[in-house]
Amino acid sequence: MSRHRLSGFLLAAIEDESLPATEQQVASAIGLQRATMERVLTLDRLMLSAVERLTEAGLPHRLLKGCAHAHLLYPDPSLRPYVDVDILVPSESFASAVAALETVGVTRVLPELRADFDRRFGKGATLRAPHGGAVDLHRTFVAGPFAMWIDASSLFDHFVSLTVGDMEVLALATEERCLHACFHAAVSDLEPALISLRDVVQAASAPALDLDRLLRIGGQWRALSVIAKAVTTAWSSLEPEGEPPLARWARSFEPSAKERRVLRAYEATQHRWAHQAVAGIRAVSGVRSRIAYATAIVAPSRRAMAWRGRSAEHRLGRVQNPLVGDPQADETGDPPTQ
Amino acid sequence: MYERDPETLWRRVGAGVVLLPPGAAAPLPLGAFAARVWQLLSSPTNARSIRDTLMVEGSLTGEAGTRELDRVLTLSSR
Repeated sequence: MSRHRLSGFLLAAIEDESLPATEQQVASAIGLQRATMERVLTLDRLMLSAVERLTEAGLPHRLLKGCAHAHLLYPDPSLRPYVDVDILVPSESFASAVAALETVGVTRVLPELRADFDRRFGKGATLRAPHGGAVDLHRTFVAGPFAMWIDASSLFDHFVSLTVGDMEVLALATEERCLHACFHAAVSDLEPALISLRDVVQAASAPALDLDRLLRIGGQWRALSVIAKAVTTAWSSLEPEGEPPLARWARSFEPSAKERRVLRAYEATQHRWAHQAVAGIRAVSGVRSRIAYATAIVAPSRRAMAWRGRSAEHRLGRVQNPLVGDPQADETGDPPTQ
Repeated sequence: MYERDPETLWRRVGAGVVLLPPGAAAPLPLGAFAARVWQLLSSPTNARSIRDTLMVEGSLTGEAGTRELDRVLTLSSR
């Protein structure tokens, strides 16, 4: 229940009597949801500090996922728990944003792979708060090839706002938010939490969603296969009532061989980061940029290497054969936010 | 007059509510009575009006109830 972040839906099902429960089970469900919401509120406070600091520093930003989805996609934000704060900043502001956020007490976990990697190729970086919680600062939605194909600068062209506490916070526009939900469900995690699939259902069913605009952006980002995979997986897993136009489109979508090959880089069961990194090399435009990207992957800076406590030889050997090991997996075993 | 402090973050939990007022060290989980008071504070109102509503609903009785109402109003409003 906790892994899939369904404590809100569990309690809602008990409340509307669609799920029979004993008194003890009701008490357990309330206890779980209370603890979850206490954590969420602490994260919201961290988010507001971060947003306030970025605003003071004059850095554009957009709230992503958790808190934004909770307020914008769900009828009651209590239905949508989250475990960190996700904020998107423009590529050119990434280093400034890290520096600004470090003044509110969060600290970057992993050093940059090589100078300028974050701005040019990275997905983002995780900054941890001393008493729990973290800010995932994003440059784009995912690592690998799509990090090069997503037009991250266009994500700042439009926005919607939400109010958290007494502060107005900017989030992605409706279609971009749906695209992010699709990316997260389809390629971020090998086995997405059910709440991530629910996000896709909620986003795809939003009355304000402009399907033509969504598919136009998805096509420009070479991400139609991502949208189709996320939506078909969400509908087949959760079997929600109704089939909005996006779900009908997804059901009839046939990915090309090339699109299937790109998706496979994100579907590796082991050493996922290495597969994505290698697939990313092909997606980088320009010989010089491609060399810079590959160099960062194969031979990171001494600082990045020292943090991970691994020798360059060890790293090189593993990257040359992605099937042998995952040189970039962080302490959670997941591809790093880097 | 009382009203919610707009800086207070909150979430509903079943019949209760969890509040995180500005400056509080940790979130405050509150039960159904406090959650009802929080709901009544969604627009500016006075203590008498809140007390009358709760008495009509049967959730405010006796001296202890009044003390609890005062406590909740102090915690949750400005």
